[in-house]
Amino acid sequence: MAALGDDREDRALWRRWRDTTDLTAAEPDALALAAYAEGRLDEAAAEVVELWLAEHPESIGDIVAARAIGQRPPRLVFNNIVAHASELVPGSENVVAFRRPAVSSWRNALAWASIAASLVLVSFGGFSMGSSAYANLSGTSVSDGSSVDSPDNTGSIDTYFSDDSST
Amino acid sequence: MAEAANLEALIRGNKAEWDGFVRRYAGLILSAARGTARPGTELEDIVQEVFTRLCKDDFRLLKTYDAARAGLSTWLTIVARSTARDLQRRRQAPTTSIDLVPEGMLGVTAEPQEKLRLPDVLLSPRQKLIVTMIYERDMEVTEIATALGIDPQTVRSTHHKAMLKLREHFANEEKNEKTK
Repeated sequence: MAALGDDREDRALWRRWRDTTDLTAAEPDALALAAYAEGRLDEAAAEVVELWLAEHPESIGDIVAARAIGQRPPRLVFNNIVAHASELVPGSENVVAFRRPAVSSWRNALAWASIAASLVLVSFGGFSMGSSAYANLSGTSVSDGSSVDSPDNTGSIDTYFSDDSST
Repeated sequence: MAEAANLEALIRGNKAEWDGFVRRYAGLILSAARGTARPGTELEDIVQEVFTRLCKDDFRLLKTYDAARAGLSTWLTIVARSTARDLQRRRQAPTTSIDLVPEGMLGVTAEPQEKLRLPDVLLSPRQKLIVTMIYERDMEVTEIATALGIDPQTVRSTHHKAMLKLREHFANEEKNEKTK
């Protein structure tokens, strides 16, 4: 059986009609087209959509595709497509940001007190060690100086050499 | 498909809802865009354009959706295909430098071409749509019936009545021209 569109005479007649008609239909919005695809429009509203579709045949496929939803399995989507689309909306105020768990005030005070005590102890220990080291060094240098610089104490060198020579 | 998207929370800018929406409908949008994509067009770009359009200007487009009028999947399919066509049109729009156009072609024709107007009521919108689907889109009767949700026999009879009207109209027109 021949298809309806195979008749050359009818096709020529349609072309003649198409070439002599103006575009008159107002463009329906996406919601009206979707409602039409689902058969939810009343006759008057459906006629408006049908008139526009007749003048914009490239959109007829939209109705066919919308009616075919559910008849085809959903396509797998690459993760990068989903990731890029997700990035279009930044994080909102409704999202609770990460917060550190609250620490009780006495533990906080204890921690700061421990740090302060450690600093005091380290400072005191360092000062004590420094002082005793200085005292030791200064004590040695004084005795050495007296043995070397004092003219009355020349015997000590002799003693040293004599002791050394004696050994 | 379950229309489980919490659109109210989504259009308030809830990031988690948006992420869920993207995961749930990216496949559907990809399928819809694939049907209109010309060879060489990046499907990823089309999907991205659809989602951009949905959330642009504080979700202006998404706010126009009304669940009482149509299903979300159906509406998204229409939006996706229309966006895909717009994107491809923008990318393939021919641009010619004005310097390359001959001067004679830049002039505006003084006499507009008159078009023979047919009576608006000659064919009903349904008849116009069916003959357009047959001759412009080369669709089969069963495809048309499925697309319009009507019986194939109704498609045939509607086409038949439309062609009778056209034949009669043009026959009368030729007769009038001969008598002038």
